[in-house]
Amino acid sequence: MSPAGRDGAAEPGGDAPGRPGGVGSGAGGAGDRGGAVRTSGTGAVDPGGASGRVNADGARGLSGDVAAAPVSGDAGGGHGAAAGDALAGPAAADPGGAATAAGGGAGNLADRFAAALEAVGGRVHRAADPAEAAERVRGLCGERPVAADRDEVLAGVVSGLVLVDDPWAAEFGLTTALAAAADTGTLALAYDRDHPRGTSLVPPVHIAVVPADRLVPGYADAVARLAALRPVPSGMQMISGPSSSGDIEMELVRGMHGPLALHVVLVGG
Amino acid sequence: MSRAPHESAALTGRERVPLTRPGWAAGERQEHRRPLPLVAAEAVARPEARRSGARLADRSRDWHRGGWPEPMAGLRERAAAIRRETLADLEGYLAALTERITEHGGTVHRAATAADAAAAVRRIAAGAGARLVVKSKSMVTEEIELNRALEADGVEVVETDLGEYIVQLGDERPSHIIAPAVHLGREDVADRFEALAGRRLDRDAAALASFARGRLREDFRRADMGVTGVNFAVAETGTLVTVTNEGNARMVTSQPRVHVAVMTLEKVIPRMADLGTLIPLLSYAGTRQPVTVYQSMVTGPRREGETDGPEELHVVILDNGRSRIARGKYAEVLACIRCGACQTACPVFRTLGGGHAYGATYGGPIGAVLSPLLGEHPADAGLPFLSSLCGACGDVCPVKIPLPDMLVDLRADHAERAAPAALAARAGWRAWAAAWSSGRGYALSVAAARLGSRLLPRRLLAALPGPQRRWARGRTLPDLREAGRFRRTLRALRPRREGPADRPEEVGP
Repeated sequence: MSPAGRDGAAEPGGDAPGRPGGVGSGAGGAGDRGGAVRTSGTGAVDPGGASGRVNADGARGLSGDVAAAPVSGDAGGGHGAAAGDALAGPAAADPGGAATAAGGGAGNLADRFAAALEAVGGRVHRAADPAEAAERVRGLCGERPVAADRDEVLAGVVSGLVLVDDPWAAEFGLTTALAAAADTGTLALAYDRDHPRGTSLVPPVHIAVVPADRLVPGYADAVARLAALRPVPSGMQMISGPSSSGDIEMELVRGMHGPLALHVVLVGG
Repeated sequence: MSRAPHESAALTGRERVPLTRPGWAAGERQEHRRPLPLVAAEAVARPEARRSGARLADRSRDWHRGGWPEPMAGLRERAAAIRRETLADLEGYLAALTERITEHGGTVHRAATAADAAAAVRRIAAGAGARLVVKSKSMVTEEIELNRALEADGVEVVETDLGEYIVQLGDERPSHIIAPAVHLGREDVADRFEALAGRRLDRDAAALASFARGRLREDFRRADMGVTGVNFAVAETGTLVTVTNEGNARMVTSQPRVHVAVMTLEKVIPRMADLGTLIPLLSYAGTRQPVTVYQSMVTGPRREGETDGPEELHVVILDNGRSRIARGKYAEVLACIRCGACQTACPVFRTLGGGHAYGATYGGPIGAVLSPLLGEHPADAGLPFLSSLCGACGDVCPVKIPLPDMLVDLRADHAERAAPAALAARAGWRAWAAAWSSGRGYALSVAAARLGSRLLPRRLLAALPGPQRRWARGRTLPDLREAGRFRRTLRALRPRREGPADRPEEVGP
């Protein structure tokens, strides 16, 4: 299950160009990539440093995804129709594609992340740099309304999008993530004034642009990244796929109260 | 079932949904309960029970093959240790938790009893002027019967977890800790939704879920107050963690103005890092997911400058007998992380078609142990007997609670309490043990049973006098006219063993 694209899988050198703030804080990245590796099995984070939010930038693109087909908006629901293609398309193939075989650790992490997230109904896209990521995001959202977090990672991505403040009026929610766990396909987010709770929750499609150097091996590593944040944020959120339910005859239905579709654009790497 | 126009979009039309459930499945636990054997007999006979039991059995078979694989076995050991570490100093961790929550601007309410907890939430709702409350799935709010309490004040309460919404529409309790509507089929769900909507709907699971999504979405925006349970409360940081797949807890904790989290005191865990162990384990044990889709971590209300999230956070911490349980020999039952695995694995629970027939808040093996200890209702003392003692619940428990041993011990406790009857029963068991300790005694008892069964009327029990009659209702004498047949047949076969005339095996192409 790893269709999603893997554009350049592992490239060692890595970091997406342009990442200003860099992963500043402590948790640095479990990244692998070029040298810095810290991938060990467990919590790589260094508690010490972690201070506020980590910003990196990267970006990634996305493409179609998911979830149970569009959902007919019954009773009032409605979204379904709206987000049309982003919801529906099956895995978009990704152009860049190609699969490089796993190169260094980074590539492995990215591949593992893609496989894990796609196994639970998410879609992963790869972009070599922020510009490509921006292009992917624009391709997905088109002229439709987008609610976006204010974050350095997204700085280059939001231009050209139709931005709205109210997530209830948006068809897409655009965020980044502080960490992404390869083994479980999990995104770790923290909320604050620039990163409201609604962006990744309310719109029918959630797009997360994540610098590949924020990949960590396991779920516990992603938890450790959040645990290192000080002050403790008022809200933190782990996300592994689009929302789902098994409450009717234990049959899996994708697309419940949270987003019907989740796209992750991994940038760089 | 309020007559007044609904605050809730999701519950509009609720009065059109016919109530089809038996009394013992009602949303409100019954004060006057029929004897457990009668309820059980009725539950087993329902066709729905056979269907849902079969679904659970399929799942259980697929899941429990081969025990605990790595790395889950390792996580299980760690989790068991973390939970016991917590129980060893519950008050210490609760004090730290309370301090951290308060520091971050939340308000902690300690409640000694279920009624106290419900009253605390009512006060909060009244203070906030709440008219519409959205809830995400929570067993403790079942324990304190919160919905009824709020409804009595004219507050409309909407369950937003899909399964909980389905059972709320039918005025039922959840029948499984993590799969509240497991006793229903999709046709039952479709019937309820169609009655609610007043029109035909597509009857597949995805379409039904989509209908519910649309109905509930409006309520998330409009509600004044959100109520959640708590899966884990981190003492180190004052962080409340909820685990879901649907995303309703995210809505409930971010959209309304007030968030009330209700937890029982043993939900506390020492450190954030423990989530790295507990979340994957809970997910695996409950649904065989690597992790559930969402884990939401709330530390205080929204902060200065934030544009969403609740302005007020209240945390109600319920005791309801648990600090007493924590000091006794059944303390380990408080290690439970509410994954529901013991329910899914339990053949008795499955045969009953879910947890309703237990009559208590918590059904299945965990309920059969916990409910009598909580002492919600005297009838719960009989729950440990709703078990075949097969041990499956202990095998699948992710935190290694010795449920089978506890069931046996609770039966013993029960026998001691029931003094005179217990003496008679004990004499009977002793006689039986003595008789069956020798082959001759066994053969004699079988012959006696055969004879008795031929001579005594089958309806004998119904003719018992006095207090025995209540016990006897719902029971029949076993038919033992053919007792000993297996041994006779075996004896008859033995000589033939020598010249086995095996049927030729059919050989396939």
